[in-house]
Amino acid sequence: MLKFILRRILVMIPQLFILSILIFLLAKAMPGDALTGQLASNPKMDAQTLHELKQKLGMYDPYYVQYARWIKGLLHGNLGMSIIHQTPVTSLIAGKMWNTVLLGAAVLILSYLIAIPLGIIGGRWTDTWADKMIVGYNYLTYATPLFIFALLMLFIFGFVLGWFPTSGSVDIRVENGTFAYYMSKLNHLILPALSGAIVSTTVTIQYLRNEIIDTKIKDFVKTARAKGVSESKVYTRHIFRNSLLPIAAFLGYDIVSLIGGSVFLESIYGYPGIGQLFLTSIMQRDFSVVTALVMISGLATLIGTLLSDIILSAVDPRIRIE
Amino acid sequence: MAFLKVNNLKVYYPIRGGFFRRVVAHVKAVDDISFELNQGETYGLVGESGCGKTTTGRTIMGLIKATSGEVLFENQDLLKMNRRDFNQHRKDIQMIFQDPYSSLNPRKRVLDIVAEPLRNFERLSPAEEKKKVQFYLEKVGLNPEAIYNYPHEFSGGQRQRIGIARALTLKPKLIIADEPVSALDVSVQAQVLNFMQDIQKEFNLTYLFISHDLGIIQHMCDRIGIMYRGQFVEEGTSRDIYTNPQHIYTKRLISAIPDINPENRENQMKLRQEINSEYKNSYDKYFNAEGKVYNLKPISDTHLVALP
Amino acid sequence: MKAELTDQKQPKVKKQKKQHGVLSIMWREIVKDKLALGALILLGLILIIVYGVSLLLDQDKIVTVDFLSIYSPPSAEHWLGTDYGGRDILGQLIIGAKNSFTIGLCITLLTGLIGLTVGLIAGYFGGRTDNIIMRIIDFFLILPTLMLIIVFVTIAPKYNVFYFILIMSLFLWTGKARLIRSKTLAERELDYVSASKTLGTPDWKIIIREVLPNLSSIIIVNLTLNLAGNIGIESGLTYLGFGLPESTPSLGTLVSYATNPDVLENKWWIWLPASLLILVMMLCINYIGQALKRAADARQRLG
Repeated sequence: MLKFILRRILVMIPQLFILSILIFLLAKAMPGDALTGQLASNPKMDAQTLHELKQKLGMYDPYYVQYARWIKGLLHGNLGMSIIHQTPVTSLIAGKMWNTVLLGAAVLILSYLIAIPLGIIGGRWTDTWADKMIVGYNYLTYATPLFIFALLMLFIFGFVLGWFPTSGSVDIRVENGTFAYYMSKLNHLILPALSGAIVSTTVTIQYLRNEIIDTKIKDFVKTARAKGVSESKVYTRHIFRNSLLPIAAFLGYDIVSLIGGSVFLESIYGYPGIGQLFLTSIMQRDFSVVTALVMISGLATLIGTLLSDIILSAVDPRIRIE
Repeated sequence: MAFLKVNNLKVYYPIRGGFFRRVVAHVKAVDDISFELNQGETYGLVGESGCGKTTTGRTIMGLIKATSGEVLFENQDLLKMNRRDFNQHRKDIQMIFQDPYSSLNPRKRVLDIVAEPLRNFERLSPAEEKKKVQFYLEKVGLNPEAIYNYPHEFSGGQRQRIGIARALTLKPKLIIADEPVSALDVSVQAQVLNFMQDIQKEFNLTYLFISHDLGIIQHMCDRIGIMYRGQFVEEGTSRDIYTNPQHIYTKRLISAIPDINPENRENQMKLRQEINSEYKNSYDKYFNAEGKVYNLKPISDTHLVALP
Repeated sequence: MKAELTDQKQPKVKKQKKQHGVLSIMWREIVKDKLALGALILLGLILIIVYGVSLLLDQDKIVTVDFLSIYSPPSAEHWLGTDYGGRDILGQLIIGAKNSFTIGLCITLLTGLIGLTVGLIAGYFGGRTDNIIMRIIDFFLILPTLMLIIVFVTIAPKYNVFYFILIMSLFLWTGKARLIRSKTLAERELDYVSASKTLGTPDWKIIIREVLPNLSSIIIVNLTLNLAGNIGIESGLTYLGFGLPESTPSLGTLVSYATNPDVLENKWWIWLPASLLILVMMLCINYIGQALKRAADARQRLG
């Protein structure tokens, strides 16, 4: 097991290295750096000062020197300066990070809260009207693109019904740290989290339902029934235990899909997080922020898949052999 | 000169292990075997599953890469040939597969299946091609009208015949038959086997017949090689092997052939027990310290046994 | 002996041929499933209307700004009202649907082609080839795809529709390649592939003529489901402003007007029809895809 994890991490290192090169090259390839952009808007900036500033920032060094400097900074937790905001990228990201983590966690928890009962109901009482509803629900949520669904949710519950706030992560009028502050945060969180959660339940429900249906007819379950174990105990003791474990392994892959999802959710709900920061930064050509965000997301994806692989191999020993 | 001669053929598979997945050992699927076939005869390769007999057949066929050794076909080494030369010789060596279900592509009509080798090696007009396919279908005892049907419309025995027709179209000299009847019902087995003997005479074929079933081998083969864990333990004519088995492994195999006659049941039983006790008592006589068999030594002109 | 052989029951040739092709099995499955048939008809209708009407439409007239009718609600003249530039929403909807579908289809076919080629090669040849290809695919898996597509779209010089299709395809072929590889890996172990090899058939011919037809149902199902996904991703990216360039309006363009809270709250006719059209198209394609999936798996067929 330990060997498997170690080898898996070893594979990660070259991947991370190639990823960093790719991102660095992309950053360099971005047209119009932020400084040049200031040339027009900032009256104090002329071509000469711009040139000096660029020299000072090392923008004329050979690529490999710039790359080495960037990597060195990265390893020291220094992601560079945001040229637009004139603050370190690290602090800029840290400020938004927790909102995204909060949103992501809320999406995950809600999606499991919805998916697990539905999957169990569908699997246990197959072909009842409840199961058919669940299958229908699955079709619907699988086919619906996140951004359309989130937009409709915002329109209906935010604007038409007015039940929830339509933008931001907290009401700016409430004082930081008070009870009202946390309630406001929660209130802002519900709608985006619910939108994200509902759309991401499909895989879990489908997996759980199929798994239970398959396990139902296995011999060990028949044996349990033949021994006279009551029907509800057959399910709780024998079937669910076998079917629920692999669900845990989806966690890592869910994190991966959350990264993409957060861009849509945050942009639609005006929720100040990493996804929104990414979009505004790329529009403002603030490439040090973009680079850092892509790198962080890549890292998160990597860790997410690693996590899933490890959980999966812990749950199902057959996978380790590969 | 021998028609097909296999010299010191080895097929090893690496076992990888440890943290860096280095090669730590080898599985010796075929471990240094040599034998030869004469034109027109049927040579049987026998052994339990996993003994390397199928690997041997597939290696001669070029489906598996040999680790070392020679396969001389009409005095030319098939293993050292480049692809183009090998393809030319491939016409002369064909194969009948074990599983008549997976060996026919379910998406192709019988016509396309049987004509596939023709299309690779000969330029025929569609009419000529159809005529030729129908000729061979008739030869293998199928309705020549059935060329537009798909494989799943046939029974297992019929499918195996389609496979044989396909192998025959190039007029091969050698056919490697890898357990050609073990996937078929017992009632159909005899039909296919007899039919294989008929076409052997008609087309002057040489068979390398691979099977685990000693009863079938006895019925079909002129000479027999017994394989055990990738090596030969005994080789000889059918008579040598069945009437005068020398190696304990051969004896055990032969004693395991069921006898239909109920009166012999007692005797068979006794024989089996005797051989079993011999196996237990004189294991060292037949196997060396590693559990491997010894090298083959001749005990008559035709009979070789692996004894120390 | 011979007589006995030929006497066996053999399929009668003249009997009425049952259809065995992949397409006819799929067709039968869709017809059996009334909802899938409905989805197919609905999708067909939408596509006929969209492609038919867009031929008749004067695109220049639609994109011309008309300040006299800014944000006008649905009326007899503009069935679905107008946008901030006074442009007809219905016309934009039809052109957008055409563009979204066409581009989704292009991406699907291109990724299909790449995924199929790579997957077949990796799966058929195995060994080192497979190893290298799988390393590359593994690398793609750890990429934050959405963000990278956005970055690529931003930095592409002279950005246009073709770039968009290329960028999308660059990131979206890996799933298909993995699927095809694993199926090919299983298929090549079957004896009919070995048989073809012994018959002297060259590898490329075995891949195309022998293996590929046996994967056709999986490929069709996968492409169908992917088409829906790609339309979704395309319109989503366009919604964010990183999809199709402005000269090529898509359904996402109309939805993106909703980023303005006033439009979202008060001018539903601008963004809602496009959203619903995307939804309906995705539902239809997915439903058809699910029916095809059942057809591909003999155990699940309805009949």
